[in-house]
Amino acid sequence: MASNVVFHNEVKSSSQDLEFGCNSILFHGESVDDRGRSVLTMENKNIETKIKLLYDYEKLLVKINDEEVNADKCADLLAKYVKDKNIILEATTLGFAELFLIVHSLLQLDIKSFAITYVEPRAYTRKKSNADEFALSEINSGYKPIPNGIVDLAGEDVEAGVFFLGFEANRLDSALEEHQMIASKEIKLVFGVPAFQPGWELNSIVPHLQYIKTTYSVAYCAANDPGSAYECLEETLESIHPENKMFVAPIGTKPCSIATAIFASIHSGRVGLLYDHRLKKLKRSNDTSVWHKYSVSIN
Amino acid sequence: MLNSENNILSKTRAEEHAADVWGEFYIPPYYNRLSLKTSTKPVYIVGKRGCGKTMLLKYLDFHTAFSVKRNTILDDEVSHIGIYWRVDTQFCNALNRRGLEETEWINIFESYFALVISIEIIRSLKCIAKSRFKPFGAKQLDEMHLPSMPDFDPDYPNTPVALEAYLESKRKRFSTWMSNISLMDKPVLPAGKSFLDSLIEDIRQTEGLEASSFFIYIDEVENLVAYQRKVLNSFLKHSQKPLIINLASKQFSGETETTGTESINASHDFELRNLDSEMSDLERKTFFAEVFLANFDLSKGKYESDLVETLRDATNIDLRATESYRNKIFSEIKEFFPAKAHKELSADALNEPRIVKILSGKIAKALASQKTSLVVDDFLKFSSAPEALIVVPPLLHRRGNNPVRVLEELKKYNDNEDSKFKSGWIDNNLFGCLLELYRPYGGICPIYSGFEAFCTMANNNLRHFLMLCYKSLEVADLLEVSKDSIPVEVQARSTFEAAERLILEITSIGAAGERLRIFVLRLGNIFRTLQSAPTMSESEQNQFTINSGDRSLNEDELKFILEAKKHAVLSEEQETKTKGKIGNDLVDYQLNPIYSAYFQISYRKKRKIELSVEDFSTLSFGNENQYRELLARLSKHQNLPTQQQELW
Repeated sequence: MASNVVFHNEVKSSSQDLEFGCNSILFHGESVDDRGRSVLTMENKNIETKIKLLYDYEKLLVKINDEEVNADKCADLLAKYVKDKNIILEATTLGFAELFLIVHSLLQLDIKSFAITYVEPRAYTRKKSNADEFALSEINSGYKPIPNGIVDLAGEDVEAGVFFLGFEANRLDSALEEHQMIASKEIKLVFGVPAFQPGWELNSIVPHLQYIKTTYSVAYCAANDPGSAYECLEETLESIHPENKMFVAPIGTKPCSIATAIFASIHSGRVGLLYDHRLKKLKRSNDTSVWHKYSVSIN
Repeated sequence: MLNSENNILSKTRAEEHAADVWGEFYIPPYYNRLSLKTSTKPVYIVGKRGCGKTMLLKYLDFHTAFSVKRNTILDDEVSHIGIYWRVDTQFCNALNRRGLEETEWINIFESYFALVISIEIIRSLKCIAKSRFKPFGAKQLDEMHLPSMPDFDPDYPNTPVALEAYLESKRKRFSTWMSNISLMDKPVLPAGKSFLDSLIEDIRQTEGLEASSFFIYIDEVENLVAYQRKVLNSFLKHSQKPLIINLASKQFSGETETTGTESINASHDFELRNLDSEMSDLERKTFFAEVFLANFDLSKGKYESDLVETLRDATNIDLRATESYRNKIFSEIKEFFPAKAHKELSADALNEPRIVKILSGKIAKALASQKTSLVVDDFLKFSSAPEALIVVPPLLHRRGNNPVRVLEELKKYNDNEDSKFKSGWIDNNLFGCLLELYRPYGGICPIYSGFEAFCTMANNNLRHFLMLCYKSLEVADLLEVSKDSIPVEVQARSTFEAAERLILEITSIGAAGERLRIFVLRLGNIFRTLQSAPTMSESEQNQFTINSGDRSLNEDELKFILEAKKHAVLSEEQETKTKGKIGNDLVDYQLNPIYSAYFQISYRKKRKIELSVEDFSTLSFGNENQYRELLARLSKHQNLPTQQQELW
């Protein structure tokens, strides 16, 4: 399967170095930490509008300002905002569900080029100083569906699944506990290696060690490279029966979630999503590290 | 550990086993009492995580009942063709809202149910045909016709194999439509239950399957959307042979409404079977031991050992209840996981120079708080009575006890005369004192060892019991010590590691997971702090009751307790002695003893603390500062340990 997505990654040390096309509209989510604040206060003459978009997983609705629609109709909601604009998706603050719903809608609207920004943190917050665990999520809402990415895991046609893993092992624990039928599928656990910073890969591998000993296969892709994550997903899709489906659980780094959002949008008939909509903890990370601008073009 | 051992001995969850568990399922002692294959009424099976519910349902499922591994299958086996359907709850949650009315969703869900179950019914026929079931084989399957299927739609094939492929493609299309309901036209789906009734009627016209009946076991119903539970309740209420709809969940969902005006009623419409309370204590202990010993046989390649064979056959249940059989099982398991009497543990403790130093320090500190000329060595010379010597520090700390008198009693005990040590001081204090002496050992105290202790800590949960056993084998392997009889220290270390792992695991048990974990850490820490009081006047506290407050528990708090009970973080027992000041009958809640080693508190059900509604609210939902205040208040009259406790 030849990849039909091109990711061009620019890495900068500050927001001033990022360049965007004129008439840009930026979609963003809630800010919970330093990098969120930095990115939402970013000044750029080409960004005309900033729009906050949120997904309500209980009611399956998307919301912009006071306007709410069924998430199935997200494209209808976005149409009026994106016409003749350059699109920027601010992935540092957007949750995965929102990111996916926007990308899926853009493709529906035949918009195949857009930019995605992402700011790496300097450090993630630990539960206590020197603790092994990190304080990244507040509430585990359980795995809930996202329209256009829904898959029936009880179906035998769902042959394989890919988990992008991060620092919180209990997210995988929950998935396996809540959806025990997963155990019978071809599962690939993907770790972000190389990680954002040297040594961080251990923060994701060590808490998941008990699963590495099992029958699940293990793979690696660069934590900050959506292209690498995308290739990893393509490999799995190629490996399954052409009429079968796969699912992806993007519970690792945001660049892997970006790849998942694009991949699941392009292959929406064969790829479903498994996502737990965790509420991000305030101050989950400190300071900012490098700034990414991923220019995405889908052929 | 060898790979083969690793395989079997790492499976503590039923989902890690394939659909066919023939030969891997051990018949629980209550199996015949459930009357699952003889009852004409549906059952609602309730059981918490780790109780063996999923394995039981897999055993009832056709993959196991008609397993190719099964040598003999009687002709009447088709009178119970089980179908285990574990619902994908996130998928079913998507069958809701999204611009459609609930009445539309009810129709869609009924069709989805019929689609899934009809596919499984046909698969069960294929499985039966492949098995050693004589009246229906591959030839009969090939020749089989389902004449009423085209009545529903001329496109429906009338042979099982073709119909399965057709329905499977319908299911795929349904699933794709469900993901993209605004982008695709709704596919035509089979009618609901009437489709299943016709399919089964056709099947019963087939030679060899005339007596066939299908029993559907739907698991995880508590996590479905409310209207979906009502649909299933309606199916359950109107169940009759040859199609019986049974439900299963962690706890009784409480949803009794149907899609009509009726409701479902336990005993009238279904039999409620709670697997957590089906076994007596003796049966449970025996069964837990049997499962470990049989799995150990399997790990050694003894697939046909006497024990394994005995447990596989339901006709052996009576034999397994005999005293001689039980004694044999207990003797074998105690060989694996030996325990030491508290007296012996006390003697071991005093052989540790570090512990003697700690004990001396505690006695010295207690003497310093009293006006006495006695010195530490006056007590230490009675090291020949270790179980008495170890409880001396809290006795000396208590104001009513004169040190001279305590010393006299110690001497009398040492001389084997009647003494207060014999009449209560040791019984009431030794457990707590041993825990305190081992506190610097980071949770590794030999008191957490032995088969009986494992059973108490596992608290009805087979998975937890097996975790304790398997962890002990794993640690023994790492430390290169004998696995035939695992030393108490190794067991203790394993218990701590299992407790630590299970506390981490709490976050993964549903939406309230992280909150429940914090609650466990806070509650455990309170018990640990109270236990460390020098007087140890209330040792072994690991329960609480809510018996005061200016208000009743609110909806969030009640929901939180329900969640904690559902996941066995807390267990509840009616407290009969007193009435609460807040209106309700009092209830004692015990922190699951599987966590006790992590906090180094007692796993025995002994004493409780009293909390107000507001205190409970702080424990469950309060912030760190509020929790610190609560901890300080509760330990106000009991000096905090010298080392600051970790706070959560």
